[in-house]
Amino acid sequence: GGVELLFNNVRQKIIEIPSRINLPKPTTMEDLILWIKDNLLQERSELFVSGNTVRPGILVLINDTDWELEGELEYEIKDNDDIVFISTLHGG
Amino acid sequence: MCSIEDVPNEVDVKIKSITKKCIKCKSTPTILIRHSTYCKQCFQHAFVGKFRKNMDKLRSVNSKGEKVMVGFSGGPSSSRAMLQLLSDYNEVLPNEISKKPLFSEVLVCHIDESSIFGLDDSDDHDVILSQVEQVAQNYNYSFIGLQIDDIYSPDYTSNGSYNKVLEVTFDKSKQQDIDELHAKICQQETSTKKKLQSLLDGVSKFTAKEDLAWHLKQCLLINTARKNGCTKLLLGDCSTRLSIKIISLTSKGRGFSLPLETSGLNSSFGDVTIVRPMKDMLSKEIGIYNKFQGFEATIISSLTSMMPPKSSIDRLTEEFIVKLERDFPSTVSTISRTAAKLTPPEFIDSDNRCIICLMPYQKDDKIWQSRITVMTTPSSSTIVKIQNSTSENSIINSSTCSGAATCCSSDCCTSKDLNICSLTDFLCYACRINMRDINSITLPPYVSEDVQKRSGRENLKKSIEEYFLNDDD
Repeated sequence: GGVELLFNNVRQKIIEIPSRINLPKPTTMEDLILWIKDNLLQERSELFVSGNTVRPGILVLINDTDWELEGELEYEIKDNDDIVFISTLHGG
Repeated sequence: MCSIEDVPNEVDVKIKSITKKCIKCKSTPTILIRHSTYCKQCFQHAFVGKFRKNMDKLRSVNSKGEKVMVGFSGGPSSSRAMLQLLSDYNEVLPNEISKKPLFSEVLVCHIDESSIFGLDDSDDHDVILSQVEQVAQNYNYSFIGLQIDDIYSPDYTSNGSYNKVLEVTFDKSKQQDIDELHAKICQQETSTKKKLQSLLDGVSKFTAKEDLAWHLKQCLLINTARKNGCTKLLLGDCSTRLSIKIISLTSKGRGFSLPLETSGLNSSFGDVTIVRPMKDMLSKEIGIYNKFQGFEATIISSLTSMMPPKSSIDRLTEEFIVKLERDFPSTVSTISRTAAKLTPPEFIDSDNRCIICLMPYQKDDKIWQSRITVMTTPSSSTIVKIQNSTSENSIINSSTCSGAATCCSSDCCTSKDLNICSLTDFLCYACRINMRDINSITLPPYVSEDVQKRSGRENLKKSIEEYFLNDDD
């Protein structure tokens, strides 16, 4: 959707993040979102994150599956996972 | 009440994914919509099914091929999905010769709002326009691209050549009565882009700006559909967008026209029926469908993109409903179901329409408004004014009219200007409230044409009033 506006118009990015950001737990979605906020967000972080999760109105798909069925923030990220953020807030 | 912040412990999460199955085919689910889980194929099947159900309602026994117009804003969710669904619905496969497509011709209309932001010469603007045109051409549909400032050209009035605009000024310093609107029909020689920009600059609040922009777009779409002989206008409002509209329209005082502005089928414009086939799909479903189909979304900014939530009523309502929907998934469907029970007003004739928003309004709502509004402290003069409202009003209005001759100081108005008394009689409650935010604006020709017709009719009525027979005679 329009989320790329916040990321300097870069649509896709393959990122490598350390597999253990918060020892001893493996990296979860929560860690990923915070990592994105700190490293990739160019501006207006409140339009993407709200608290420690994404803003309401932004869909997250992990390997084409709704993240709510995978545990949302608690999902542990595996190698080569495909994560998509879709904004549903504009247009019609 | 259990807290939403509870971190689900691992046991709960595991149970969730094992016991849930796709409710149709019982395989592993991948999508969660409201409280039901679907696998990818069943989700798409159900999605397309909802669209077809809404479209089948349009079929009547004698329907031959009709021309329809699709309002395409190019935004990520509804319109893009709607075009794909429509083309699938309307195509006739080679082995189904007996089946007739419902629509003989589809026109795609896009209104370019870049004049609002003054972006006419940037590269991004052209890229977006060509992307939008490309999308329409992929389906072999004819494409009509309009600029929002075209509303100021005489093509969009009923007789096709009316060129005068309506200058309205509001004297904030007096602050006495909403009747202090000075209105004047005159000719202006500036470009349409400049006229539009001065219109939006003359309005201070974002809520009023967004409202005006939407009404201009609506008028453009309806008139374009009429001119091209289309009997139906398809708009891509999803149920999330509609429930946001329901709540924000109620807060703005547009409850009377709410059933018309948010229903799936609106025939109050006579020859053009406005249809909203996506009204049963959540924005989440549409977003996921677009992703599965691999659609590239074009980025269209609106007046309040990237702005904080409190910048306008619409923005605030959007924030509220989307947040609520996340934690309580049946919010949107409850709102839509409740509003669907409202019935539209019965008598809609051309005299009862607001001249700006083209929606019907209640008779005598101005008297109601003056009764409930406290603008000045009660003094004897104001009380006398209200009591003798019918006789005094005409005297007061004529005095403000003669004063209004000096309101327009620019030299481009000719001497054939028409001063309009009681402009507020032709506005609905919400548009009157919006007029409070203006300094001095110029409304497009379709408004001034309507005003001229209506005030002509009013004057005629007044002059032969004494010859009317009363009902009890």
